[in-house]
Amino acid sequence: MDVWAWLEPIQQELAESGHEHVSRMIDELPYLVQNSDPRSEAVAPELIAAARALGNPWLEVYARHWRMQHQIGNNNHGTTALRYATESLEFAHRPDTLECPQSICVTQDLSMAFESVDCFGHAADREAVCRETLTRIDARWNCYDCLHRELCDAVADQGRPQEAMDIATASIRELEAVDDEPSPGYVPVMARLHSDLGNPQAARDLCEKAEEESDGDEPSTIVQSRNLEWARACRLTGDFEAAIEHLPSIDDILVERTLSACWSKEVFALVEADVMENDFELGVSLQKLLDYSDHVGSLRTTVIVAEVHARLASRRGIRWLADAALTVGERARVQLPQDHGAMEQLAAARSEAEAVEPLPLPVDIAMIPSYVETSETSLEQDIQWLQQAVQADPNNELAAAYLGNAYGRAGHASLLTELLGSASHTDVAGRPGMLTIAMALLNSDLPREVVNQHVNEVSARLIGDASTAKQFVGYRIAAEQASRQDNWPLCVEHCQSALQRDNDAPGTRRLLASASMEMKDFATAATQLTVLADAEEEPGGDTWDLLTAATCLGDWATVRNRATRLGMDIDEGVGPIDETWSQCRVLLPAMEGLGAWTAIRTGPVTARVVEVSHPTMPIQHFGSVVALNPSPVNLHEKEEHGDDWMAVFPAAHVLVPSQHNAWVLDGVYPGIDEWSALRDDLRADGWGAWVATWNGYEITDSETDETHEGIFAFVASPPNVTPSEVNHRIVELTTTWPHQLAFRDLAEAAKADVAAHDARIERYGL
Amino acid sequence: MHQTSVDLGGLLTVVSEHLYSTPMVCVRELVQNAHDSITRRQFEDIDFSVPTARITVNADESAGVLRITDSGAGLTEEEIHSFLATVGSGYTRKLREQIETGDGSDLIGLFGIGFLSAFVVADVVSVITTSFKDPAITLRYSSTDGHTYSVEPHETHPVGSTVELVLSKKHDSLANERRIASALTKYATLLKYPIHVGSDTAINSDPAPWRDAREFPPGERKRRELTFASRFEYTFEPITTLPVVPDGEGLADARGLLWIQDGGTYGTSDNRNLSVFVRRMLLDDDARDLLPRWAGFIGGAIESVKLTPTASREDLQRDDAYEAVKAQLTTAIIDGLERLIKQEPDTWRRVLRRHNNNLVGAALAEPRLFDLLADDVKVPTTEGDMTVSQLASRSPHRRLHVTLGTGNGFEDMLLRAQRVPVARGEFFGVLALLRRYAERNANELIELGSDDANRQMFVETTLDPLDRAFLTEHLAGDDEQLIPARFAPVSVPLVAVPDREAELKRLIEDDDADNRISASALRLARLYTNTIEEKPVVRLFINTDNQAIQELLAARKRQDPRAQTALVLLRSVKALLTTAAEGKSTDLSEALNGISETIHVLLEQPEGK
Repeated sequence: MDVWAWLEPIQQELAESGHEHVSRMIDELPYLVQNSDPRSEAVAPELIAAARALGNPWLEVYARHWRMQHQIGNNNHGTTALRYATESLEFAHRPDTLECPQSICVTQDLSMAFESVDCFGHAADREAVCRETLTRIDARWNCYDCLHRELCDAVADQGRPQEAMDIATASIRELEAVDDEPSPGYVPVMARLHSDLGNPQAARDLCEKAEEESDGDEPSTIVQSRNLEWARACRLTGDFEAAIEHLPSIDDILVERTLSACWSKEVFALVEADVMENDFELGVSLQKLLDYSDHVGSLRTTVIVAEVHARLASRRGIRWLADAALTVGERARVQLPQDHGAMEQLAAARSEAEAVEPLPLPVDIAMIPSYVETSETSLEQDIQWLQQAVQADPNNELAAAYLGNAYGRAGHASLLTELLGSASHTDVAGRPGMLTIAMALLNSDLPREVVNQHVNEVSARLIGDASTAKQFVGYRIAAEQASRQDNWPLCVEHCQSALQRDNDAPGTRRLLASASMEMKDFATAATQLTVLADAEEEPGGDTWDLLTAATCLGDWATVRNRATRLGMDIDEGVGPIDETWSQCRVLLPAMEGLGAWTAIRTGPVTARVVEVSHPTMPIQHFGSVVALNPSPVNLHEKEEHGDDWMAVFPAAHVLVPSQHNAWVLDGVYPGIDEWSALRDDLRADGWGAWVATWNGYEITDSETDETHEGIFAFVASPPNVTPSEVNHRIVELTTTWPHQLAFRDLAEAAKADVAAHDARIERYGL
Repeated sequence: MHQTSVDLGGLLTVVSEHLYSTPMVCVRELVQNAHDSITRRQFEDIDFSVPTARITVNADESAGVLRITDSGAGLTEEEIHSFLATVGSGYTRKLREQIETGDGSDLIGLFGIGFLSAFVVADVVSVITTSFKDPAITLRYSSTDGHTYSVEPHETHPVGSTVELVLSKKHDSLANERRIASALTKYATLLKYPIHVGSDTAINSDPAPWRDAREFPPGERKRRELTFASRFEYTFEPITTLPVVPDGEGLADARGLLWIQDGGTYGTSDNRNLSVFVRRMLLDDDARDLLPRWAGFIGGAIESVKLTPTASREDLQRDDAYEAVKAQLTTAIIDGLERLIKQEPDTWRRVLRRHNNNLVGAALAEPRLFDLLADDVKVPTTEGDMTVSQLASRSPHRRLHVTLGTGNGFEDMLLRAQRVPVARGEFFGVLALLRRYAERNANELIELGSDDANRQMFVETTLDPLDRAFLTEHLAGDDEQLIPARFAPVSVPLVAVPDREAELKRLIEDDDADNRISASALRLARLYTNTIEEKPVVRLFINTDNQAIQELLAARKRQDPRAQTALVLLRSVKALLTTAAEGKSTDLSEALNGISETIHVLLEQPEGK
């Protein structure tokens, strides 16, 4: 029975009724899932929503099934998938869904979720589910194949490989009897069984043959499981070179998550055989697998990876890493439904870790921080020494800060939270090093609520401490956290509290200044930046920022004074600086988001926009005077572009908004001389002219059939000039041109004759 | 009559049925041979002047005859016997072996079977040829089947060859210059020597943009690139081009152009279109697999020396060079998009408008693109389409709210009341994009309907036990747990939120499930639901910040009988809000009766009392 047959008429109906897109998603979702394409996460929710909107619960069962295939079958979600899998099981067994053939698949998905939780502990349950389902179908169903492979795995996971092999062989016979070809997914299943039964050569032969016969179109999941079994079989036959060749890379395993445990075991065996290097990078790979399986509640995988990771770390002499891995492994182990040797494995790994002889300290323990700063030892080794230094002297600020930073870089967020907590009880808590640790945690990829909870706890504890130094650090951390949430008022409040406790804190002052700028409180920003700029040995970044704040505030005396100190030659007048400097671009609101507008710098951190926008744009920028943030966003491209480079500045504040009106001119390009004359004439009176022509704009004169270069331009006029005056002036300036331009909207606004313009539009096809 | 050295019968069948997909490929092969012949002459004939190089194709439609003339090396009689008559030993291969300088990319023919293709379309194939080695002798090769052939003297012909095909009835439509010109414009656009098809202007007079070293005014180069690109796009207009430049000395030697199509795309739409030139000849005009799967909006034309054609010469071998070029193109797209974002904001906005959803998919599939695109693509929300950063900026604490469409009407309603936008997670890519964005930018992602969302939106508070008992008695229904909490907006006094987990536990553990679900599956499901604590299926959140609730509780304390009227109204509000949020009319009529009753009580009292 073709269990997908029901989809075809639905797809056709959907396509015919204008839902072609939904119809296509039905085909696409399995394809994406089978290739572990992350876009399946994008399609599944949409298909579910479409199924609900169309009132087709079967389709929802289908989409839920594929979603779980990705979440569980590709991404190995364990406990984190149980709720959705259970809900889906219930959903797929309601009166209106029970008959959907994919209800069977959804049942298998739940079984697979339990397999991800603990393949051994739930093996008997999985076997029962498969057997019960198999009583309802025969070899003509497409799921016959898939169910048997799952049954084989479940039976083999209970230590009965021969029985599993018999099941596999019989099912292949049944499939062939109904002229069906067994799927390539049988290969890794049977290769595993051959190896389990002590016949790895048969496994190798099977994999080799499968690869030879492959059309290259098998799903990546099958290819990688086959390669992994192939590597294992090669190793078991003593051909280590081939084993290394076939072993999937860590990048493959980071996609095919279900293979994590087997891959880790294989890696361990290859290291044991001395054909694979046990290095820092391998440790990093295993840590990634461990963090992930722990995160998704794949308990058995977590235990296995933790054991391998710990043992390999011990062999490298990295005790702390072994301990950390075993803590995670132990946490998973106690949740396993059946132990199945886990306790013993972790205990053995623990003994190995306890027997680790740490590398002797390379220098005196007090000198460790400065040593690791310049040494070329691995990060994990540095952490080991830094831990020892912190242990020896918990008040060693430098050691604690370096350790926090190293944990952050190595991605050990849980150790980082511990360090933050323990440091808050030492002298470090009142030192800048504490901030380094907190920043490492704020920058970590732990879930936000976890980070916020830890940081809040620590900052509250420090703020409540009797020591002013600790209070300062507490407020400072809280300010940093607020800035990351764009909560500027709170950030300002915390910075001010911090500065009340320690006035000599330039970092805090800078944060206060930038938060104040965000809130458009330029006076506060300028006050803070003045303190900072005064403290600069050579005028630099703080002085530049002060220029911006003072400009926003209209404090031109300060701008002149400070700019002169930066070596700029500014006119000596009073009031706004209005000189003509180089051209630049300024980021200002566009139709969508920000756009870069051409402007002329008028002073150190000001620019006037010279680009005229299309009249229909909601905001006209021509003539706006803008205070610039002094760091161009495209500085990194300066070298590459050489003389063509033009600075693009973010706008800090619009000092004088544009009030100009804009008008469109369209028609035959009169030539550079004529156009320049018009432009210069207008600009002399504070008007604007801007050519917006797309390259290749060509115009055909229907009277002569000649083609001319076209021009599409905007003219900006000051607010006090009436449309009629604008119209008059443009007519005056263009009247001698061989081809007259069309500016119908302007003429209409000026209540002038529009017929001439209509004629030009007609003649030139504008 | 002479005979060829191999049996051609079988080979011709293979050529006609399997090797070439359209008869036009035969013309392509012959033009290619003509081109090779000129290359050969350039190498071997020291008197040859390149400006005289020319290939002319003309067709006599009425007679069904096609002629391809070149000013190449021509053939001597000996060469006729060895090259035209021996399949698989075309002269090109031999010459390539001889040319040690350069990369041989000027030579196109590879299998020496190009000439054979003529017999697929023609009843009679003649070659009138004069070798540069002996310009006084012109010969005519003629054959009807490629197997037996004659060679005879012919009237004078300039140095070079003319291949003359008397087309078979089935293929006589090939004798059409417009059709040939149109096909060759694409096929032969990179060929070095001019090719004329019934016109004085060579169809390949404009070099491919990446081979064109001339200086152009700004904008002109772009325009030329777009014109070139449009020749390769049948359905779409190219919006902008992205350059492909070789990657140093490795296998990734492709150069050419990619472009972004203007046709709007959706999520996973796949309009990839790539033409690949190998040794200057268009080899594969559907090499889409060389482009990443997520690039459904990209077209392109590239050339490479390292890519190897398959025997059919219409596809590429999947070898190391293939993988290298594939990676090269992926990088070219990413770099090109990056340049566009930074340097051509206007064009980038057009691209975004056209391909927003496709770019969402691309960002999800390619981590390098995620950082580039995540701030620019838009997601649909309850307040219109917006970027994720706009979504964050309009919500307290820059939280990102997302709904999956159904089952979270209460949260949805509360957020709507505050005009906080909620992203529509049921649309393509939205949920996945927000999850990654939140991870990267440290935003909190609130998935409405989840327990986490409830924790974020409803902050539990405490109530005087008497107040709590009073509210429970009068407001909480059966199977409802009353929870005092603060939540926004304060104008909402209470909401009843279903507890999906508790509902699931009930459904799975109910006896009815045994009739629906198989025993073994149910056993597994119950392993999970056993871990859920027993609790009411609805949580009734009472907003302790709400003025009406505060006044109600004050009224209770002073034993004001009007509290009863207020309770009637609150019960109605609860029912109405439930109806609005869940879309189900629970006890609507009772709610409406409650309102009428309250109004009645209010108006019944004398004024001023």
